[in-house]
Amino acid sequence: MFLGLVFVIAAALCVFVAYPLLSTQDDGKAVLPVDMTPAADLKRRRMVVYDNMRDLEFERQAKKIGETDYQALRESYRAEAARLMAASQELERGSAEDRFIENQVAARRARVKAAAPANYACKKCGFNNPVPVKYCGNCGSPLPKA
Amino acid sequence: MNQAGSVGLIAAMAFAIYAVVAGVAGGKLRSVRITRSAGRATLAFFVMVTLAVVSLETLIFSNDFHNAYVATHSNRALPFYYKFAVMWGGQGGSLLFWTWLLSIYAAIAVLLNRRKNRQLMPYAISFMMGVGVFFSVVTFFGANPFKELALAAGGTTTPFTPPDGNGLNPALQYPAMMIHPVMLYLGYVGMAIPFAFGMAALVTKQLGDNWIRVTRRWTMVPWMFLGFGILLGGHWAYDVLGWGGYWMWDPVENASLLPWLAGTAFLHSVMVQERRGMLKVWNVVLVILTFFLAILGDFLTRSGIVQSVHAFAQSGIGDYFIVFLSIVVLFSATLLFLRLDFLKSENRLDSVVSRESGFLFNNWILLALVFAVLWGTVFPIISKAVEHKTITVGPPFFNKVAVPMGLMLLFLTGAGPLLAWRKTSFDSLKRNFTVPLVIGGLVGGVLFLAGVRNLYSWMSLFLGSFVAACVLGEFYKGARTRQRGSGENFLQAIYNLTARNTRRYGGYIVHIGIVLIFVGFAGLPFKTHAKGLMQEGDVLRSGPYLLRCDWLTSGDTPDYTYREATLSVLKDGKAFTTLTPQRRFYKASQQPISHVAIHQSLAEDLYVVLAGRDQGTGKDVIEVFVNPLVDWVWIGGAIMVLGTLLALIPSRAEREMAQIRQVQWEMLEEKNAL
Amino acid sequence: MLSSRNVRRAVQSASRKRSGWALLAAFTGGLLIATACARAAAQPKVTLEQVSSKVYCLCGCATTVDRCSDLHCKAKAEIEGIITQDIAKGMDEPAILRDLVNRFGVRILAAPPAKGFDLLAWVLPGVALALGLTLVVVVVRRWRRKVSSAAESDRTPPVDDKILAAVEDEMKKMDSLTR
Repeated sequence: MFLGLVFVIAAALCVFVAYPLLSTQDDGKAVLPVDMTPAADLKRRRMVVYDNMRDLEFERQAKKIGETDYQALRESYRAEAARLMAASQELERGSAEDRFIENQVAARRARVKAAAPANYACKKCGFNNPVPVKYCGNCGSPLPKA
Repeated sequence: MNQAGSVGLIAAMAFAIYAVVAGVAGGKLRSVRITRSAGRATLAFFVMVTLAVVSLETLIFSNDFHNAYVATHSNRALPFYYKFAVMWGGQGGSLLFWTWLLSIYAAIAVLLNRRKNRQLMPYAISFMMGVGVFFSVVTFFGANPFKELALAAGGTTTPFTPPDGNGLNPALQYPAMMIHPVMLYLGYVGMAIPFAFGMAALVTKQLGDNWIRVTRRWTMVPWMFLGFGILLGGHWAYDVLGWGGYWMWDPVENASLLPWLAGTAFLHSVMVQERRGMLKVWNVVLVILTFFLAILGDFLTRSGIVQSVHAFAQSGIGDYFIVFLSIVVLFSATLLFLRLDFLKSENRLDSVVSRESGFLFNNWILLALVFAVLWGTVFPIISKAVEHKTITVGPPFFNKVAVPMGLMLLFLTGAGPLLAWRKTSFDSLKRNFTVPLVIGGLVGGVLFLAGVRNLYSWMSLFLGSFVAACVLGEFYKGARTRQRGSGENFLQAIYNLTARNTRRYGGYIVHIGIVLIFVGFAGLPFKTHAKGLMQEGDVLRSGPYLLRCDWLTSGDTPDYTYREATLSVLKDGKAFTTLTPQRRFYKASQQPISHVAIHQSLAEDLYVVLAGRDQGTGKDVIEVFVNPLVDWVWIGGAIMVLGTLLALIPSRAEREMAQIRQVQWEMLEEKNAL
Repeated sequence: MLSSRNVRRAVQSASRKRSGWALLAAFTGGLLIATACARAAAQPKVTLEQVSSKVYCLCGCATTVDRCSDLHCKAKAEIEGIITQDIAKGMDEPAILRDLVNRFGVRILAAPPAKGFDLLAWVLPGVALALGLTLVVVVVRRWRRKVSSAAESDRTPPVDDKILAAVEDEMKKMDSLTR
């Protein structure tokens, strides 16, 4: 009896395990998101520095640490945070430039695409060439210049 | 039922193998659906192993002695609560139980990380389930608890069911044994999870701060269980073995100590990475080492390769472990080597005197201790292989080698937290060390004048008071600082201080626990022992105690027969207490065992054993131990557990950060979905 | 005015430093004396317990003789008998242990003698400790050396005020979030 139950449960679990593979919910193309982008990593490193600074402040108030140590460490933490902040801004600027270039490329492509059907269709065989060409990709007859 | 258990195990194995493959595929293709399927296979693994466990428990509880495991480890008269313990009373059951605990850990890890660490998870699943494959294979092929008894006669075998079983080992029929093995196994097995995440981080090159944060928690939990398990084991030995002590450097004890020490090293050095982005390679090494030692410990104790009081059955499962351990070492070392470039330090050290180097020294001693204990434990094997002679490495060796290192660690327990990160000038040092050193010195001086002349005891108490002063000083200074800013009263300030940084102050409480445990150790050299043959009316003296034997009785229960002595105790001539030690003889296993009577107090335990009957005179043998300060070991252990629990509670800041991270992840996910 | 205060502070800190060293020296000295006294006070009398905790019982119980819990253990009785006799003869601990080894072989010792191959058992933990320390020192020194070269690069880019302001801003935001 129990043996039968074990078999039934095992079969049910097979379905349970296989189900995500068969589901058509997301075309099966959904990609695992990254856990940490470079920007996020820089940010969390800054957070750590801030944490360190907060602790340093607390240690000074608790008189655990001497004034000279405090000043020196605080300065170097600040410098570290500033360096990380500069890197972040650099990255952002970089990605802004990337975005600009991407937009430009996309716009150009769209323009080309919009123009394509009229200019690259072969008059002889009727084949619609996807890119600007001198000769038809299907029958080889010369095409008029765009 | 036997078949059901076997089928459950095989199905579990199949799901585990599938999860390994699907995990790798999901990670490689970065596919959400395959990863989800791998996660579900992990849950399926858990369900199937659970069914196998249910099968075995059913067999045990229904007294089905047709099953070989039940016949050798249980009997009809065994009280029902001890029938749970049959599960870990023998090889096959223990391994099945291990597998089950692993499946629980893995299932929890999968459920908690459905929306987190999405890139780490597929590989983490693979590694967890790789360990799962190993354990289900060893259980099924190496020591299957679902084998049936059969008699071979004249070329045919006929099923055989004995009328009763051989019974559970009497040493296990003790309340602490209901939880000690569970805790210990939870500790051992749980180390597989940080290992899996560490390896996943290496594979995915996601070696930033993420895996370290996940791993730290996943290490703290099994670390706490392991420590608690070790302590319960000591308590059990103290109550049951009847020699008046709790630790004898037995290989099995050592094996449990090793991963605990390595885990301790990791929990400390992880802070250096979190705070300063240093020691990245080292942390990966420690995670691997901790897992390795946990498996090695299992191997040493379960394969019967070393001689031990725990006397586990010799068996052929050793080969499985050797293969698995080799795979673990080769694979992780290769992977680590390939990823060395990704593990560069983010920061530098400003000064030799700093918290960072404090942690380095802590790691240094912990690891040296790991080496010394491991070396002493395996040396008899090496000596036998090289010199072909049998030697023993026992308590005198470990006491000589490990105790000084333990004392150095104790010192660092207090000194480390007083060092500032990056740089500590002499001025700051003096600020923090003067008061604790003066307090320690005062206590040490008083103790010396009071006649504490044993070096190790004196050192333990002296350093213990130094550390206590350091740690309590941290609380005091912190609370005063808060008070100045907020106008809270002292208790409020202590509470808020702790709640704001549970990790740090939980850790300090663990350190206090360590101090108390060392206070307990300090009593060891002052233990006294007396032994006497007694009849009714006889007296026995031990120190200030006078024991008079009032009655000697015998009795019978379904499970065992017993003899009991009733002793009234006088201390300094005044009535003190009555103790009733027992000597039991278990019928099914035909084994005797003493049930010790203990009068506990914070100053000392009066520990009385009825050791048996003297053959010559027919009188009963009573042994009396006076154990000073023993109870502090248990108190310290309990405080350690509480401190760890406190450190596991996320502080307010951590919760906020976790929310921010969660939002970030979800945004990324949406971006990916578009 | 300022400079004189600095001087006074320097003098104060120097004297504080000196008193700190004195404290440390007194502490270490006290520790050494206490250790020596403790050593001297340790009594040299041999007891059965003391010796029996250093030899293994040969009944298969895998513990030292004093911890063997089997009351009728013949091995335990025999070994304890020999030790008691030897003590009565006035032998000291090493001599008794030698006697036991002569009778039962090296395996009776709970810790191997520090000679021959077995010396390795004793030496290697010490070697590991020393190697570890060397490693720690090397690592710390390397970290230190890097900082001296990194320190310059730390200071070369003058920290932009705008960036510093952004840092302060972010820090305040985090503070308000986690308070």
